[in-house]
Amino acid sequence: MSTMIETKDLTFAYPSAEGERSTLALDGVSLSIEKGSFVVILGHNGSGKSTLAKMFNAVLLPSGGTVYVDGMDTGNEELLLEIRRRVGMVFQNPDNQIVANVVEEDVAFAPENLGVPSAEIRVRVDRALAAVGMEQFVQHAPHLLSGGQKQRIAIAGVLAMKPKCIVLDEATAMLDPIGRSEVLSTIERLHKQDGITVVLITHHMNEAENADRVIVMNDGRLAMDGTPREVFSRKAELEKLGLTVPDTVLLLDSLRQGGMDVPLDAVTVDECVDAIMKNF
Amino acid sequence: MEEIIRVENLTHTYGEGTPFCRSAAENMSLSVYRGEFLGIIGHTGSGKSTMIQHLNGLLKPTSGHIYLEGKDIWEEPKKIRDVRFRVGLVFQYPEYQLFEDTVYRDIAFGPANMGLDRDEIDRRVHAAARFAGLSEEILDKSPFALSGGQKRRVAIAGVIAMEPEVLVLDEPTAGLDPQGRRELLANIRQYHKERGTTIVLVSHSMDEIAQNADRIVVLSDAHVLMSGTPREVFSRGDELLRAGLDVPQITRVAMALKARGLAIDPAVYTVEELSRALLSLRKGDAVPC
Amino acid sequence: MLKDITLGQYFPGNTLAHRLDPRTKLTVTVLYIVALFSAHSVYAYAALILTLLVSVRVSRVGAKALLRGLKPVLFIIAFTAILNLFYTPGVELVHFWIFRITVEGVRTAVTMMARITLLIMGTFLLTYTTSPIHLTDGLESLLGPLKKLRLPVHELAMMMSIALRFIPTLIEETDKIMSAQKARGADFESGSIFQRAKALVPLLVPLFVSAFRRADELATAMECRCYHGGDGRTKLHELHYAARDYLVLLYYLALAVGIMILD
Repeated sequence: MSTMIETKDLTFAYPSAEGERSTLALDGVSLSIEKGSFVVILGHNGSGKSTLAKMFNAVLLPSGGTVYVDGMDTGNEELLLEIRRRVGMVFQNPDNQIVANVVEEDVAFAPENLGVPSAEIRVRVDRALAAVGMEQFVQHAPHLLSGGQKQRIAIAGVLAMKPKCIVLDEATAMLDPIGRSEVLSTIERLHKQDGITVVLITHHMNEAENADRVIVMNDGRLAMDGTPREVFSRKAELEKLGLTVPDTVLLLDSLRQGGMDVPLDAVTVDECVDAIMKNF
Repeated sequence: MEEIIRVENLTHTYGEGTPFCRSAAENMSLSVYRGEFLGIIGHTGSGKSTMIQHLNGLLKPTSGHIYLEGKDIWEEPKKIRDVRFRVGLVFQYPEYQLFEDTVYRDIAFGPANMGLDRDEIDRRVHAAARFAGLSEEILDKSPFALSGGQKRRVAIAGVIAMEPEVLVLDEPTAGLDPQGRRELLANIRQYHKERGTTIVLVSHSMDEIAQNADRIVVLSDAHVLMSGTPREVFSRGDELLRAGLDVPQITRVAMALKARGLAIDPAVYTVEELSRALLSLRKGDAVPC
Repeated sequence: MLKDITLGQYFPGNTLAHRLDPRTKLTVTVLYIVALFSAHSVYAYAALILTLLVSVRVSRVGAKALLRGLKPVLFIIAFTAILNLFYTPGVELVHFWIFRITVEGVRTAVTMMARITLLIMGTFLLTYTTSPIHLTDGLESLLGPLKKLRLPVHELAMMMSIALRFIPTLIEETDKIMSAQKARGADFESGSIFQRAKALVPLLVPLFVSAFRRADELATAMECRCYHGGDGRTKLHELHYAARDYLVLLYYLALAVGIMILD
């Protein structure tokens, strides 16, 4: 497997108001994300996780260190369009990333910018909308859609660039449970079927259930890095970092203290039930 | 229990007489009791936002009545502002309504509209800030310089400062991180305990409602689907799932264990309860089926 | 409620009038207006009225919708008509008290009324049959040559289409902020003009703050989707002139030139 995104000693400080000391939003982050992986980045607000995400397609440029996207240095301005084409970004507020007032026009926005011929744009738009299950909304006005539908349109807008990687920067934070599961299942399908690399930034712990890898950020640094099982079994540490563990882990922890022989790393409801049933 | 608000056969239709006409509330009836912590749950489009905007007279029913302490709030339409002071409503993402140049003045906006004198306003601003978990030194700052979580607290304090008899909060924790969510809910619970104010918490998170509310009203498709204590509601877990709603994660585990043959009450919804039940079941060495 | 305002005048459809290239429709509207202001004789007006009637018929826009568009300007039409009726010097027709109506007055009043009515109906027909996006595309393409004079034509068109996209969002937001402030006892409906203007501060400040935040986020989102100005941009729907466009253009050109020369 080759590397999709690689950061080396990455630091970043937001410009500070006069007289105030600027604090580092990112402080020496080195990590690499493999092609085709599904990585969840967790952390409380202000932990640096969104800043990190914005480094992945050159929305922000490092104050120190380097970021490579598919081998390309994000500091090289000539590669900017190519980097952004390969790493698509979906943001938190669905209303503030939809550009056009017809769904198909919005999905066409990126390929139009890239100078793709119209016939090819048509094909890409239709494919992207089918991939997110929104093909029946081609001619709709986006502001009349639900939050989950709007985010799926935003994902389609990114897919139309034929990216290798999609970064979702708290893209589920403003959605209700139905919208959230719509977006998550869409993303999981794209990851499985098309092998797209997914970086999901969130503070909903249960969205990390199906990830290959969970990275926890704190104070601009990597605090934990491992599989969901490994990370979630470190309950005390997570709580110290202002994060909660899923209730299933809490239950297993409490059962263990009561003397039952259960593992701590059963993350989903089914795994938890299986683990408990072994004791009966 | 004494009823403080009664919603009777509430129907609200948007855009009547146009092709876009749709009912956001249909024949809804429910009660809010004095001093309780009521949870209202339902997903987007279930009519919960429409319903709560009737409680303080921001929307007028197409048909049906809202009674506040037995009196129809629309009996004297000119006094509807008084109803808004008595039933405080905190909207979703309320931080976007801040407008004053200091936090103090923003919190004082409601009390000032009530026509209170300066000393009383001052007392209320300080009390509200404390309940919302804001420190004194923040009061002189510009609300726009604060973090998202703090802005939210300022907006909530702005409603608490009116000292309403009923405090309605629409998704107060939306978009906050787990710690911010936990702290804010703790503040609301503390306020409820100290002041005895009736709280109506609207949420689409079953876990959040389960952990805080004494009683739950479930809305679905512009109707009241069910209401009762958390235990009563979660014992109908299958129905909730069929209506496209969630049940708490622990209830899901309990339902699955029951389905696999364990003698577990599928309506439990806290980690402690389920853990205790499982451990005693094992100690008793109950024979699995 | 603000939400109830119907936005944009566009009536979707699939008639000849809808399918015409937006550039054709824009050009034709300009030609029609030129013809309108060159017309003097009854024959010219007859031709103009007939043309509009046929166009309306083809577009299948209801007469009601077209007349509704006239409502807001009814006062202006009446005002100009009355002014012309009484203040045009010429051969006296009727005289009572201080009012004199002249033959010329009646003539000008009728002409002015016809002009404004036709002008408004003509332009409304354009917006009724052309979606805002097509309108913007058409304008961008027609004004394209001005890019050589360093006029930011693409940027203006992009601004227009983004404004159109955000109008419903901002209206919804206005509604929400208004409700939230009302819940804190704000009163937008009573008091003197000064008091009412002051009452708008709690509405306008949050609205501006939010509009700037949205603009900021949208700009980032657009950049992430490789937006880098108008250079090298293609379109999902390229504009194409078809035979019908040439025919319609030819007809209106003949109408305008004919009236200018003959009338």
